[in-house]
Amino acid sequence: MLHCNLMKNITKLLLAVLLFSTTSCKKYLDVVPAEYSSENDVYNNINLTEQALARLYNALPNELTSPLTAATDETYHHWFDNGEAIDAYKYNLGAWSTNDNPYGNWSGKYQDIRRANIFIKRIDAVPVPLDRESYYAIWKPRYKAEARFLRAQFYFELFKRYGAVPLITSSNDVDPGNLEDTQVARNSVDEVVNFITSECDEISTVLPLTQEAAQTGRVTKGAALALKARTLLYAASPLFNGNPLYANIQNKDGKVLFSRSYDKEKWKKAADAAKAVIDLGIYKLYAPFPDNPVQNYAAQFYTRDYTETIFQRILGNSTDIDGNYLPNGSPFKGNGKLTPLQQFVDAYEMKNGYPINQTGSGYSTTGVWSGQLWDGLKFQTVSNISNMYKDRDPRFYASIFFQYDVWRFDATKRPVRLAWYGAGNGITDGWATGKSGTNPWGYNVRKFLSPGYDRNANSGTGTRNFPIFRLAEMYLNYAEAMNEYLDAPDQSVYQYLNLVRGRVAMPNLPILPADNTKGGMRNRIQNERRIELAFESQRFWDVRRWLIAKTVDNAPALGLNARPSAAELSSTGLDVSSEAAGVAVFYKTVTLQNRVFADKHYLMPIPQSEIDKDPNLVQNYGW
Amino acid sequence: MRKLLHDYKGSTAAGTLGFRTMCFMMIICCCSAALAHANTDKKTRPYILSAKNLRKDIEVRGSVTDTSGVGLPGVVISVKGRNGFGTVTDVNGGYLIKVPEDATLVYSMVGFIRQEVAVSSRGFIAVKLRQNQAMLEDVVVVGYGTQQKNNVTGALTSVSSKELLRTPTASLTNSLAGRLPGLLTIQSSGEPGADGSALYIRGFGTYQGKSPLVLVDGIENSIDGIDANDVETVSVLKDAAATAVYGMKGANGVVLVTTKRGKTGKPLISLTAQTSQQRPFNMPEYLDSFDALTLFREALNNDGLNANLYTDAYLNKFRDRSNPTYQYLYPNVNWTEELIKPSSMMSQANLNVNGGSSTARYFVSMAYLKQDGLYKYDDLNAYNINAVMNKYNFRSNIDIDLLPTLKLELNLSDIVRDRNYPTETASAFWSEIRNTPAYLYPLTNPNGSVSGQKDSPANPYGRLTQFGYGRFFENTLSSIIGFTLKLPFITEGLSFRTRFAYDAQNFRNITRQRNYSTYRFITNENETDLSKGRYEELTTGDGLLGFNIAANGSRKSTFESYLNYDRTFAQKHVVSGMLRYNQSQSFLATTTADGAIAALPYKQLGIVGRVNYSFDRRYVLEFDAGYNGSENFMKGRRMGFFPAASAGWIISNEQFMKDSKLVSLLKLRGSYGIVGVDNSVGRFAYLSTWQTGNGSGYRFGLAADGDGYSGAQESATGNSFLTWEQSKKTNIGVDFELFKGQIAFTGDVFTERRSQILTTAAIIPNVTGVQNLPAINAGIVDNKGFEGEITFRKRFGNHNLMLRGSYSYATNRIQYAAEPTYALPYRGLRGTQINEAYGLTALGLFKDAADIAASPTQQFGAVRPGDIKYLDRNGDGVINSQDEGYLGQVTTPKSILGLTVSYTYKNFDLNVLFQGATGGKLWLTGTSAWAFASNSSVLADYMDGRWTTQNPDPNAKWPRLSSSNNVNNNQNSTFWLRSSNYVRLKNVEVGYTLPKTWIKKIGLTNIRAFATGSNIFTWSEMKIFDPERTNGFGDYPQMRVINLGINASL
Repeated sequence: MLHCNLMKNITKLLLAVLLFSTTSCKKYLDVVPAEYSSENDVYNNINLTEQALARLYNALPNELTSPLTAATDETYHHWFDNGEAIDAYKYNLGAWSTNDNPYGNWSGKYQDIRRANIFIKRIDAVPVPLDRESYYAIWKPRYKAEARFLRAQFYFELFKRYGAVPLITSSNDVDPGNLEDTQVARNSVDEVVNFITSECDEISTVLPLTQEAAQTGRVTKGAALALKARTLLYAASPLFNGNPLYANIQNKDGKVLFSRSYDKEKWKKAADAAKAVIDLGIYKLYAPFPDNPVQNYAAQFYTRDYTETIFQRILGNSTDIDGNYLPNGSPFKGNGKLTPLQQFVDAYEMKNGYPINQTGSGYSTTGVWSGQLWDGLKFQTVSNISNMYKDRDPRFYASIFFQYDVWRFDATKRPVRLAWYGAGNGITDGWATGKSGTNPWGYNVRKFLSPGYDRNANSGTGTRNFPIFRLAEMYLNYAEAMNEYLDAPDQSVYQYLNLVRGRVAMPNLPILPADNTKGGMRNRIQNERRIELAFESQRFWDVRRWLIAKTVDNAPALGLNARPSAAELSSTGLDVSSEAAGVAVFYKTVTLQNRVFADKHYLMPIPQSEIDKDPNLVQNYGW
Repeated sequence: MRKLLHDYKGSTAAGTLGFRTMCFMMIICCCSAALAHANTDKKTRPYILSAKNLRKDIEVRGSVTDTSGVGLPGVVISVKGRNGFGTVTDVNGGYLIKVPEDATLVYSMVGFIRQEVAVSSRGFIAVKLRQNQAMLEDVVVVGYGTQQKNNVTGALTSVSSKELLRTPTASLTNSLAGRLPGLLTIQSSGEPGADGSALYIRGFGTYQGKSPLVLVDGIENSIDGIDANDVETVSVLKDAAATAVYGMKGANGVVLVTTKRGKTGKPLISLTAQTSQQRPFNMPEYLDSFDALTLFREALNNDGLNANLYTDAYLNKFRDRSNPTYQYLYPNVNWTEELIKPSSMMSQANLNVNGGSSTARYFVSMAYLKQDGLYKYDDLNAYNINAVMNKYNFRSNIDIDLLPTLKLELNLSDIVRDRNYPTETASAFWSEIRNTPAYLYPLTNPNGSVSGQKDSPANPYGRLTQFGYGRFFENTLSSIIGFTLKLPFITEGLSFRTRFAYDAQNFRNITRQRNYSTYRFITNENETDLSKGRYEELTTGDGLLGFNIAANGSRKSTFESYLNYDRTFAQKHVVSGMLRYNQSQSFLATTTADGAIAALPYKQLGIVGRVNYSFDRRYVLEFDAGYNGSENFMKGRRMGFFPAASAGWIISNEQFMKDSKLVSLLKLRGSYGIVGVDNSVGRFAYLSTWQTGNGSGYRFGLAADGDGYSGAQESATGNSFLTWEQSKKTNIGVDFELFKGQIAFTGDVFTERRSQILTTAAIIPNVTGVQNLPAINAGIVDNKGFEGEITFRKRFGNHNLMLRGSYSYATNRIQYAAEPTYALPYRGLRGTQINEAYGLTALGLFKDAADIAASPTQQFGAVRPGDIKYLDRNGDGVINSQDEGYLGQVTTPKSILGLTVSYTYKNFDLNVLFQGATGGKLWLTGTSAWAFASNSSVLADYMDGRWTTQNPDPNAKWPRLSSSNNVNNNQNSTFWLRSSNYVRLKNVEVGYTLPKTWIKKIGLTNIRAFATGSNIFTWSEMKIFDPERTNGFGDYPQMRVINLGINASL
């Protein structure tokens, strides 16, 4: 019976297959997820641990591309179609809110803090190769100090936004089943400030004064002290120092989050901390062109020079910022991203040290002049320049493009033309075409731009770092703190301020009688800071800590008349498409935007989603 | 037999070698089938010889035919009371058998009613076998098996090949629209090779993965490439009773595709050829240059901006073609008309052969489909840039009875697709068409070069014709080999079945991108000689075709073993049962960029079972269960048990109704059970993982040239408690038939509670610093609804009429989501529906400045009369993002309608299908919807019905025009949420079957000619574009198809 045997054999075979498969099934679903890297994998290998540290460095702010400048009284951002511009708009119009705060960075910073906490907890126990023990004996303590600095820096970012924030210094695993462990309360401003400064103090004994060339950019002692100085300056400022608005912000257990009384000694601490950085004596103001004050200031923003820089965000070569900021016209081929506001242009003193509205300043809004202007590479003779731009602080010429200004004249062949002219697809260097998207308003940003880069020929590149701390700021910090500490300014206030001014050949203070008063000097110092640190994302925070944002950011944003009406153009009697007609109606301020700033905007709101999740969190004033 | 078996083994191994082998194999299979046929004849002789016995044997000849007189090959003829003795009819239905003169012969064949005939010493016996209608129609496909319709207790619905073939489409999913109650189909593109529909069963029960499980012949597979001619049925399993056997995979419903198998009989060869004209329809219309710029002037004036360029004289030049330079300097390009053909062709042919002897049956099919694309200028280059799909389908389904108790099945299918596309993707190209206004630049420059404009969207003509092309080759092999062994020696009715399935897909995509130069033509507008202009080069390209190749493959293997049991006791107790063990693993196509984890196999393992007991065809009880798991969860949490219990009561079989003239069927069904879903969060979400070597590192050094490090960071925080998502489903259904089946109704009401939804733990505060919040099992969604289908059949003499209407409705509510209690409750998911729109509530348009002053301040941007006015939802006196929330309206339909009318008269047949969906909304947002927001084309609809200063209608269809992005208006709000309700005349088919007497003369058995129209008309409130578009304007449009075809069989 052939088929019978066959059938039995087949049955056996099939049952064997079934048996085989069921016995093997136990392990069938083990799909080696060990192929994932875990925390232990990273912290058992020094090379991967170094990667984790690099990730922390990567979180350092790069304010070079920050949009914050358009959210305060420096510039106007007119890339309407760009999400970034609409973010700036929200701040301009007061439309940001407890769940819409694009510059809040709450979760991003706490993620960075968690990464730092893990690193700090685990770095000591990371095994190192035997032959490199002596190397890591030096570097492991430094790595830990660097991570502590970076964590303190992250906390500073939170502090300037929110004031009192929860201090989290350990990295616990998150158990979705136990939410209460994740629900933390806010620490007070004083606790946050003490944490940052005590961390800086402790690590400054471990950190070296300088780093070897290949390690430039690592945290140094100066960086730690500078972070401490800036933190204490903020803490002493009116926003945080006995601000009556915040007297009632307290945790649910009654803990007061913002000190209720003004403490003058906080200014002294801030001054001492700034002085400690200055007294390190290893930094000096960048000034390689004593005969060219414009270049003396401008060049440090497009070169990699470390004489003045205390701590920097290292950046690779890039021409992104050149592309973004350059005027639009064919010789420049830029995107004209930011328009400096007229009120910002007006903040530049005359070169005689007088504010423009001061009697005797020599400022005039009518008429034109001819003369020499620095085009980034050499001096050029220019003409027909409005008297508005005559004899101003050299930093004005280094920071702003204006009508008939020059840029790499040999390459671009002609001056910048930002006034309206030409019909149709307009010929101006702005976008005054009536087409949507972009509107220039008479100025472009010039600071940071590299004359070594020719966008037309696409040759050259941009080599720059972003100075997170530079000596000029420490000078200004010291001057400000001393002025506030003293009853009336003395040489300790003038001395360092004048060093900053001296670099660009601005005359020494005091000049006017008011410069001898505390209030007068406060204005001078605040203005000096505005000009010296232009577009470096300091102003946004400064106007807050000085409590002046409700004045300066709650006002019409002004520009020039780069988009005249048909009636205006024809009333000139000139050809409406001609350059002459455009220029004839150009030098007139127009309101670009009515900006809104209310008391609640001084501090950012804790994200509503966080308050919804964590019942221990209380909200900031007014939100 | 041994030899034969050997042949098969050899050929399966060879099957992996690719397409050529595939064709070779198909030939082998056909030959083997024929061989099997031949073998049986030889084989029967020894039986007859060995059947020598004491009684006097006589030779009996005869024939077996069906009721129409056609000879039936393969009919088994046995002798009653003598096991293992008998013969089989030959190809013409004839037979010869030597039996005792007093024997009784038994004629049996699958699908026919068994007949017993006493020989009574006759030498010739002719038998007519009647088809067993009940058996043919009453078997339905269920999960991992078939069931008598009478015994079905779950909710399922199916559609047959005949219906599917009525819609001439390249994608099988598109044929399902409107034909299966409870199945929502959404076709969002018409691009050749990418025009399949998304399928959803019974609405939405979860906010994670929502797609149903799709199986082809019991193996998880994709449905789109299958030729409709190869399909026997498509079934949709809806409730827990029907899907519990899919356990952890079944919660979103299951679609089963069953392919045709061979039937005993002489070879039936069927050839269908059809050719269609496809016309795009419901494409958005845009304004020409003159109209668009006239509106732009209005927009500038509305914004208080300088409009002095746009004088009437200037605008008129965009229509004036009196000077040859005008069309270049004042262009007016209708991009759609210039670049899109009004129609393209699609042709398809299918040849299949179906037949078999008593021991081997085969279905072999081959098909070719060519779908052409709509792009013009496809003959401009030496190569083709059009979107074209060539599809070749091969299938051979073979069943061989190796022994009376042992059956071999072999399914081999290969789908070869060879597609061609322009380098520019359809989505990019169609967005260029809508982003490039008519006035921007001419189609081409006078010298034929590609025109352009600085800082403007790329010229769609250039991107289409000059950017090169891609050829995509793809091969999808599916193979199943299986054995079924009856185990009567253990117990009657028990059988064992085991199958191994192997699927492999390989593709090779060649992209030949070509970079080209663009130029701006500059000339004096008064110039009459076009050669006197100059050209400014805007972008530079060398015009050479580049070469890039991407090739990859995926693999899946499945092993399964069944124990099946089916037995009737005492003619009243029918017991059937099934127990199945399976394991499968699949390797997906991954690239280096996807990482090693993506390349790990996806594995499943499980045991599933079913027991069905029916008593006296009146009471049915069924228990189904799946115990299965996947590799995606932690050890110990991988396996889940998913039971379902169901019952049916066939009231019409009760004594008191048995003789009812009115009611021929009345059946109540009910089910309750639990099913699951395992794949809705990423892989291995239970593990905490770190990412190393990433780009977020740092480089030190004086000139950023010092020591550099990649970054390492925590990338996912795991939750070791993770497990599958669970769905508890209840279903109550009723089936009834009145007037002997003239009216038939099936209706189902269902509720579903989805819990443990795999979701992100949004309740963990961000201060914890966890970058990716862990997944948890937390959400709860209630989904409920009903569906009903009513059929009316009537015959009046030669007229046959059938009407079938179906309606399904499903709605859901999120009862809990892992989210905190929001201070602004309208921002939370709780209480909302899945796919609910999120945004602001619009209150019409601002009438005037006084209206603006009297309303809460809107903080998005400057507001002028004619701008959209929003609801201050949190009552704080200002309108900003705080007022955005869920809007109570969903972006997917809630109801699905289908109506089929079928009519035959003598040789004519007509079939009409209406299909529709209601209850959903679509976002009308983005470029073009927001005129001038980003330099794009303006919808023609803007000409009428917009707000203007002359007609300040606060309820106008469009707000006032702005010359640039109007940030206030261009927010997601109910203003831009437009109804997507539609009803379509989806399909009309008219056929004529040639009289048999004519075609017999040319040796054929049947010829039918038919004409079909698809997407003939759509009634919709969304007049701007097709309401089925899921992504606003969408890309490649759907097609209106006019199709002519002929089917001939032999």
